[in-house]
Amino acid sequence: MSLQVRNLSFKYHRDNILENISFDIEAGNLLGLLGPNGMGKSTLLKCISHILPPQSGNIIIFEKNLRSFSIKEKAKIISYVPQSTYSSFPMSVVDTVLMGRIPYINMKITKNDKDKAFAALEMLNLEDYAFKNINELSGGERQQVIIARSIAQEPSLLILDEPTSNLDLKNQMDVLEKIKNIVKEKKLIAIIAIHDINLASMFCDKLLLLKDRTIIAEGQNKDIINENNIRQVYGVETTIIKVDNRHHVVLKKKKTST
Amino acid sequence: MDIREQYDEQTNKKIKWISLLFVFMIILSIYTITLGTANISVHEVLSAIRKILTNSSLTVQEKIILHLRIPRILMAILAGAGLSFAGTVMQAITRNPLVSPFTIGISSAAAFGASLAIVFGLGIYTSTSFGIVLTAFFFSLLCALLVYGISNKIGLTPETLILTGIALNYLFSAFTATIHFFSQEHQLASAVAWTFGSLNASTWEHVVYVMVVIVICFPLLYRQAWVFNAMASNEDELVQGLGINPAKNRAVAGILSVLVTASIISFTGVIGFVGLVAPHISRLIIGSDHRFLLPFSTAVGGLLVVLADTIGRVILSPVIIPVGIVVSYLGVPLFINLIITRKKGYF
Ligand SMILES: Nc1ncnc2c1ncn2[C@@H]1O[C@H](COP(=O)(O)OP(=O)(O)OP(=O)(O)O)[C@@H](O)[C@H]1O
Ligand SMILES: [Mg+2]
Repeated sequence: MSLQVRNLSFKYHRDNILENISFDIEAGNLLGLLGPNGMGKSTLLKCISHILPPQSGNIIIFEKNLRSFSIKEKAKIISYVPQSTYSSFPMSVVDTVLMGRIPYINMKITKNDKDKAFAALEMLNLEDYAFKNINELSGGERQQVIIARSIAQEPSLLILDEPTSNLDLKNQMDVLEKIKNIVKEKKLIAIIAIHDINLASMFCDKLLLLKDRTIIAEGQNKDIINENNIRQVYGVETTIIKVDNRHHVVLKKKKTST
Repeated sequence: MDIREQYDEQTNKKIKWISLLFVFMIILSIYTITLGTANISVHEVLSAIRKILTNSSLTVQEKIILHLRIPRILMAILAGAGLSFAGTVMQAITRNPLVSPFTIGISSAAAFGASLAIVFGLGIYTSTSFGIVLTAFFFSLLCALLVYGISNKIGLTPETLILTGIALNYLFSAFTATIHFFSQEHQLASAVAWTFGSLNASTWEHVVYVMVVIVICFPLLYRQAWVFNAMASNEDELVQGLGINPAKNRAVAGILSVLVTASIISFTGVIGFVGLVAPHISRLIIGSDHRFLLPFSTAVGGLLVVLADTIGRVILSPVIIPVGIVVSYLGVPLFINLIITRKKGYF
């Protein structure tokens, strides 16, 4: 199965935030979305998951147009993890992860639903927090709970908006590693927005660079991560070094203007 | 211990607590039948209930039990249960802990309807007591429809619902004040008394009407427990991501809980506080999972109003203090006490 995004354009009010975005991705791949703040990464992810249906363009999944799916059908195929979450009526971690099963349940959760939820909890090593309220967790722990929920949702398309933004160094690696494993193992498609280019280079199979409403570069990590592209997108001078056959970015100090 | 077993054990514990609370509510209700100006023993109450059920002829005292005490206490349970249940739902769908069934103006619209009927004898069946009920009911539904109609134009988000609700609340309060301003003294007294909330006039007929509404609406809403879980703890975007249409569910659940609220307060007047505080008391005790919260808050609401009404009946007997007033005296200390002493994680 593959995902095809075709000529997607979106605007909140007057001006287009995204214009004519097209790309493909095959099952079993992790796609990284890079770009400066406010360039529309979150917006693009919401469009792809149809939380904000795009004004024009199409998203084709399972050879079918996403517009023809019901809201419940979409939830069985796509799970979306937002950049940040907040809750005024917090529930326990277990119940929060169980919510991932809502698209499948008809009033009552079954043993199968519970098994899926507990497996996701265990996958992210959250057993120790299982009965805490979600508002009693640290930002990073909470982020992992929401990721566990999206995995319990058993999607074919996993969409994660900056899933590692609150995590420490080790957890960033662990979480991305787990996401990557599940993508390979279950032949899913995952799209993540991410700011850390080095992490993206380590874990993503393919990268998209977003700037000025559109994709300015797309492809294998090695082809995307170079001094030129980074200067063009972020306006920052860097040196690219190769470690373990991966491209890594080292920042150069800004020349102080006189 | 394995977290799976731990989870199942917790679930069983919650179910046990809910059952216990309902049993306690029933025992307490039977006991409160004995209290009041006419002295009746528990034994007499039980034998009266037996005689009523077997259709034997009744003594005067048994008639008091049958026609005054029992419907009153049933109405107290239903009112408390219904308002608390509706409050829990309203808080879930607006994701806002400050919301009660009255935030969106239902009570002031009902008060306006009641005043209209009392002062001008306007309304269907006019100034008969049933005319007051119908007019109050009509205006509370009208208010709810206005709130939904207006906020639907901007997408039925929690914010638009609450803000239009508050605005209409003030509008209907202004209407009511205007009527009161132009009314005569004895009418003013009974119009104001209506807003205190009272169970004095409860009859079997009222009980049946409210019961029918509750029996229809409760199961429809309870089926949505998981939807409420999702809506109460997530932004609309995420709710959609879980396959739920937030606007549609908000509208349906909102209308059903308005229906419950309106049918209760049209008979009893405004018993306000219970719809706000009983859900919170319950949440502090049993947590925010609506599978358990909904039944638990139903029992807490019922208990609270039965207790409040009984205290109101006995404390200055033969003067009866309106239940709407006592409920606040009872609920506020209980609530504040729970907030202060709340130990983390009962479950
Ligand atoms: N709900 C909204 N209404 C109107 N404009 C919005 C809304 N959400 C985002 N925008 C605008 O759309 C643009 C893209 O926002 P978006 O959140 O997609 O950026 P992003 O690439 O995810 O940024 P970041 O890296 O900071 O997360 C921004 O200019 C933002 O101001
Ligand atoms: Mg973003």
